[in-house]
Amino acid sequence: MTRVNPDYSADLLSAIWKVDSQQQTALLQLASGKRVNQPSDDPAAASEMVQSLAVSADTDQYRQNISSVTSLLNTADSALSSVVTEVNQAITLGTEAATSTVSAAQREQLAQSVQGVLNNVLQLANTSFHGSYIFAGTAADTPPFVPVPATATSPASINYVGNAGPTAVNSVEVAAGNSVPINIPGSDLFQSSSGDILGSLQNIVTALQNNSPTDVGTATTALTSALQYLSARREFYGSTVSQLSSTDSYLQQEQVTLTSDQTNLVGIDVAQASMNVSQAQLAENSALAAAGKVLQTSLLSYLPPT
Amino acid sequence: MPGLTTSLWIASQALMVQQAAVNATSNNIANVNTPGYSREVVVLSEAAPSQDGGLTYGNGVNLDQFESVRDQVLNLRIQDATQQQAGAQAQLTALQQVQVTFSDATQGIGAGISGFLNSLSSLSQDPADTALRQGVLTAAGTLANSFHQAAAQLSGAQTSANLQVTQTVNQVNSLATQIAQLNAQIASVTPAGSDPGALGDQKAALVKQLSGLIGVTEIQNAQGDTLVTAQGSPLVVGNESYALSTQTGSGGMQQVVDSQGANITASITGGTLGGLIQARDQIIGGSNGLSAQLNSLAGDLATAFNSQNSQGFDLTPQTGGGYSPGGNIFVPPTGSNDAANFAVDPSLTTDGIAASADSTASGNNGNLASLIAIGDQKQATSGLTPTDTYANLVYQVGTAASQAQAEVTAGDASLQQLNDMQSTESGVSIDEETTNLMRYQQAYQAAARVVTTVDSMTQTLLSMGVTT
Repeated sequence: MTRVNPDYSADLLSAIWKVDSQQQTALLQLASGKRVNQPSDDPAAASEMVQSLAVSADTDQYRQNISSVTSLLNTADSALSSVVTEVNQAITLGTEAATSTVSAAQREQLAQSVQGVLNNVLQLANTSFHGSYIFAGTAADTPPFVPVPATATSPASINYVGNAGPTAVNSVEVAAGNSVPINIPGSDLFQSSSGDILGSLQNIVTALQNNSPTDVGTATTALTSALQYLSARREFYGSTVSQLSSTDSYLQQEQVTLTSDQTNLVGIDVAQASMNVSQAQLAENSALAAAGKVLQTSLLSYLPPT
Repeated sequence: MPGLTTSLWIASQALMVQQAAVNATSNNIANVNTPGYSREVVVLSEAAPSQDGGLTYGNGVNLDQFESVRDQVLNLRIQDATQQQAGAQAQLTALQQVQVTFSDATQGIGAGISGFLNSLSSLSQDPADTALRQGVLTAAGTLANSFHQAAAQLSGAQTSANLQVTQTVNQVNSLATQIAQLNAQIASVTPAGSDPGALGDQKAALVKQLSGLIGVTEIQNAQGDTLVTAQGSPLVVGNESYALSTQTGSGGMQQVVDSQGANITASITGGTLGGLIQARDQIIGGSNGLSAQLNSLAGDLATAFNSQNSQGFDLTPQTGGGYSPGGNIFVPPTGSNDAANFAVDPSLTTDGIAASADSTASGNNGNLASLIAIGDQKQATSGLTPTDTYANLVYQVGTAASQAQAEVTAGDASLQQLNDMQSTESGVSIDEETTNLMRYQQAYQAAARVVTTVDSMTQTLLSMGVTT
């Protein structure tokens, strides 16, 4: 005769605990919105999440960098725009002063006007942004252009005390593996051998003070070509801002994709989570009802009283 | 020829035997909910018959013994399953504690590493900015805190397991003593080869408890009962018990030593003790454990950042012109507890971040690019980038915990099934006992009836030849 396990209360309890545990898991997922609340829930997903969040953080940083660098570049471009306006004015004055119809006295006055332009351009060349001089290369803690007054033996001039060369240009990372230069050293913009704006302006002033129209003409021509050179170099700022804008659009899209990926990795659909909870509750109620129905009736219930 | 006296004697024997059977039934019913109780059955046999001339006649019933129905092989399987389950449970508990720090990926070391690297990136667009430099120091501090938290969590779990090792060894010794005492009692009270009854149940319960604590093998031989650990160290031999002891080993970890002085720590498998030791010495501790990996991550990071910072130039002016090379960003690692000790160098100021690659240009950010690039370089120990090293650590913790959980679940199911089988074999069934009660009561009534009848017949015999 095969004996049957007379005590199934342990099995019933175990079944109830199991659905209880499933219900708790479903509730936690619903409350947290996450399928993976600890690494053991899905070790691979938890691990990938760490890496994905790192990429997200980097993407956020790149966008911040773009924003800051764009401000810097716009500031520089705006300063150069003002320089162009000033220099054009000087070219007009110089062209006029080179003609023979202008008197010495007028040239004297024009010298002062052009000196005014030179002072303004000097100020613009020494523009600072957040405390750093943006045309100083990377020696950015002091104004890069220092005027040197005329002496008995030499005329007035302007010294560039910033730096130049490869270490004078900073680059900033704006996307993974993608760095952009963010400055042009002032010597390249205002005192280059391809175009010396400050030198030419100084020469016009000196020539006007010396009442030498020929020299004025020469210096004005040099100034005109220096302005062309500056304008060409100035392109860098506008085109970089434009490039950064499209990089930012791409990064914004990246952020959306990453967020979506992360939700897929560890998140749970609210609808799914709610359904899980309902199913678990149903299972629990069924288990409890079944346990309740299965009473430990024994033979004793059916025997007549002795 | 059997006479009335014989019949009377047989009936009176029967009364006693049925009474004894009711006793067994009563005992079973009383113990229906007693854990580990094996139901008793009365073993009855026919008494040896007598011969008289050509006649053979019976002599009634004998009560041979009260037998506890238990399956020793099943008991051994239950001990085995208990060992495995308890070991997995101990590991799971330790790993659940460890998991907590690694659970929120938006915080913790991964986020700390990102935060620090990104603070350097932020600085790169304006290297002289003091506020941005302070941001780097703050991010460095946050990274250090994340290492401390993780190290503290691992260390806490290890310490907890270590404490429990001592407590568990004490429990093992206590149980071994009790089992030895029971062995002595069983030997003195029960004749050899017969069933030890209730004492046997008690002993089985204690051995099962012991199995939950430490992996043991039970051997029964002529000398009695022997319990040994997996390595062969004796715990109980007959009525003698042999105590384990603990000694403080390297790093403050308790080592388990057997009664002969041998260190058996590494060979203990199974049971809570086995699980604790594995969690403590191999999963968390040990040369490839989580703590070691965390320390390597911390040490390699500190070394890499310090080295690169010293190749750049900070904002501290140097005599003779220019700026001086950078110093340490983080306290240099010592090779011991590098995660718990990971800290921003106390002498580091905002000026000390060596952003520049040019000793004459304080606004240059060339060295920052190299510092940031450390995030993409393979670490010396792990061969992975810092973030990937940490992600791998998270994976290991998750996998270990998930495996332990699976073992516990499987162990639970297995134990339940074995317990069901044991209950089928040895459990008290009220229905069965009720039926038996009725049988024994009827038999008692019938035997009593025999007594009454024989008595009446004797009276008839005695009153023969007496005229009234």
